[in-house]
Amino acid sequence: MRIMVKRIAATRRKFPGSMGAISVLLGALGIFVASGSSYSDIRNTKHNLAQMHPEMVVKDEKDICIFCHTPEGAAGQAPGWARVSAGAGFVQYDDIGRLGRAGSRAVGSTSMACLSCHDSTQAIGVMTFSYDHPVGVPYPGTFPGYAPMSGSGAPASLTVGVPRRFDFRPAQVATVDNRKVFWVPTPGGAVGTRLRSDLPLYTRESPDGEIPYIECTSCHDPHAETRTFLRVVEGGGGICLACHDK
Amino acid sequence: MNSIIPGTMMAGVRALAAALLAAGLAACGPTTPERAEKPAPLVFPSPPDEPRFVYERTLRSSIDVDPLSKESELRLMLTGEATTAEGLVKPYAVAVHQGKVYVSDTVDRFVKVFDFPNRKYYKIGDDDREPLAKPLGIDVDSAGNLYVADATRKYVMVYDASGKFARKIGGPKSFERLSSVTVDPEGNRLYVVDIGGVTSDQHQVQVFDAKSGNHLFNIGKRGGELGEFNLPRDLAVGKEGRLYVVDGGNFRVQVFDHDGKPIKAFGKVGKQPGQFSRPKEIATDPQGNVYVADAAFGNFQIFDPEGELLMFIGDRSEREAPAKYLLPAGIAVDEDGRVYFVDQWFRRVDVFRPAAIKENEGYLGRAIYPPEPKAEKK
Repeated sequence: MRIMVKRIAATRRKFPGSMGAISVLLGALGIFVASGSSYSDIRNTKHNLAQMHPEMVVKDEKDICIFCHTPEGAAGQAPGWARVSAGAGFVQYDDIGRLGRAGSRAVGSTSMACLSCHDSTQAIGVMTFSYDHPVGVPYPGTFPGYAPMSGSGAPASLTVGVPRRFDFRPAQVATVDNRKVFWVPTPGGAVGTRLRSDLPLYTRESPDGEIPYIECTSCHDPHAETRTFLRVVEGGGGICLACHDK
Repeated sequence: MNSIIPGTMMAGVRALAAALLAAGLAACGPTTPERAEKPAPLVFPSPPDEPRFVYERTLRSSIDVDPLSKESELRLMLTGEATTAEGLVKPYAVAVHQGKVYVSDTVDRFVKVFDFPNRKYYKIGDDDREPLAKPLGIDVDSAGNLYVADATRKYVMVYDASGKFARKIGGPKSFERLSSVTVDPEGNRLYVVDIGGVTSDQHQVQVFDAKSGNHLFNIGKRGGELGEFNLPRDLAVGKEGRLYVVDGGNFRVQVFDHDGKPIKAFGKVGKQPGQFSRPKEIATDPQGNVYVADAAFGNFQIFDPEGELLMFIGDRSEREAPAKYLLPAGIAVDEDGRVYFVDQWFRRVDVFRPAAIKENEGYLGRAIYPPEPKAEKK
């Protein structure tokens, strides 16, 4: 509920007057207003890498996206010393934002996308895993109703040496694009419905089935205008208590 | 014991025991790298194209330059006491000078030196009065002086050939956000890359006199036109003194002449060969070819001095192996054309040798395989 109120408040700031009133009404009914209301506007954040002072206006808004969402690119150069098959692009880290479509050639996690700039050169350096800052670890909570993809040969419960722990909130699971998608729900949504405000978990394939992992973007939304891009900021403990049931 | 077995027999028993012990130890002792089976050489590009580079070795820790002596091997086996080695924690950039490999470590806050000619490993930056806070890009001139861009302190720290702190250049008033420093081969000019950071417009290359530390001129400002930068990351000096700058936020490499006049730019954003996604560091070889590391592709691409793509080495892999990378950054090419490539995630430096030279040639080769017969290590 708190998250809804924050969203409504942001909407009202951007769209005063009747638009704001309608948004409040719709928000109260639990319907997310998608008509240009800005839950997060990356242009106002430090992830707007195209901002040029003093003018903050960017000519082509796609120019902001390409810093992380690398476009496929038109035909590249044919290397003079080596033969490469035509159209063979380089494989990057996980397909950002596409939930890993079937057949996607991604290597490494989405966290690599963050670490490629957050290595102390142009942005704060991040030392990967520490117990206060978990990155790239399997989510130890339970998954009620989880059944692995048919054909994966995995047993009915996630048993890959990750003991299920009950002091973590149960995550939810659904099938999107024929792939299992896991997330940790934050208060305010219906069961089984994934909201923008929920914490996504990133699935990695393993011989025992799909395992959801905590990555950088589980807690940080790189488009958000919140402090350090955190998905949850309210309440003492905020983001931590979203997963830890303490 | 002495009364039961006569003295001569005792000596014989002792000799036999020693021989058995030595044989036993040799049988179950750790094999030295020279005796282990060598896998087939990894060449790039792969056949049927003509090989240009051969993977040679990987540097991870002090053991790679200063292997365990025979005494510490014996001590380890008999008592279990291990000699501690020191590894790379989060290596970023690399520079090489006559067989000495310098690696900046951003988490451990030192520049670690793999001194192959002297078979030593040591750290630079341990000065109490002038500590290193965040060493990023580094370079070494022909006299062996080391230049380190310290991003947190915003100085270029200069160390002499023995590793002692000599002086610092710049300061918070000069630099916004240091990314790298490059010295020209003669050791006259220092090119300092100010990446600026997101909220600043000070994206430029500042040029200093390397010996006096005097500021000479600046190249560029923030923007997208030729001669302007958005998040420049590194610079390399190439053919005819040309300056090649990785213009990260514009996804290109810009070429300037010796005095900073823009000549051309090559590359654009994309995932195809010849394009860039997350270009990091840059280096040039003695022929003037340009090597650009790309963290997103997990490789480095080699271009000719005009920007035509020649080849690339490396790809992404979650499993560690030679030429497999997850977060590459630093790159350097030494006097003989050997390429040194840093991976921040896998904490290692891969060394590739040009196919034209043999493994015992060049500064690194002669240091590791000395031409005269090695004296027995006592």
